[in-house]
Amino acid sequence: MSNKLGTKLSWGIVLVLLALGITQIYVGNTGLGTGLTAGVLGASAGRYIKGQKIKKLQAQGLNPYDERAYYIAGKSAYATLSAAVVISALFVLIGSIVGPQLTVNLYNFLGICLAIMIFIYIGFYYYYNRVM
Amino acid sequence: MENHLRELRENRGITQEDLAARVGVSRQTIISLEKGKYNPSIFLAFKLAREFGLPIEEVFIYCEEEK
Repeated sequence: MSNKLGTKLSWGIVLVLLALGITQIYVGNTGLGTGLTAGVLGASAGRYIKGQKIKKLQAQGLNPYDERAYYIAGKSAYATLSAAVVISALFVLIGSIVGPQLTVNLYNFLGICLAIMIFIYIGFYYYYNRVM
Repeated sequence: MENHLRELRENRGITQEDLAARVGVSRQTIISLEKGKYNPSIFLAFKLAREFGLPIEEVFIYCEEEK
């Protein structure tokens, strides 16, 4: 697959997911719609910024290949997983003690959790990229 | 792992940009290596050592206790 076709395909997927997210908000599935929209926007913004940075470096005649990228991605994924485990554990612990009965749509809830995890991952990625 | 990258580079009057371009990585990678915050892949370590015309163990120093 050529680069241009790959780019078009990925932007197509982003648009479809975004449209799905907006549709879900419109029909009343606020949690799922918000989660999906936020996740797609976060991921595509990160991808766009990265692309622009690479173009800028290439225009300056500099090499954009950052060998640390996979290392940083691994560290961020591990930190995100740890954070998710701690947050989930606290949520379950506090919920078990206080014991409020919540009626939530499972898919909405999962959508919000997914969006939160994506934002945590992006945050860790930028943090590690800055401090390393 | 510690390294002598900065002093070797400065002794030869090479900028971080130049060194990065010569070994095919970003300047950010060289900065992290010089700060000792990132351990390079074996390929990059060999490329850097070759660039300075030195054996790898004279550029990178193995430490028993990892930070």
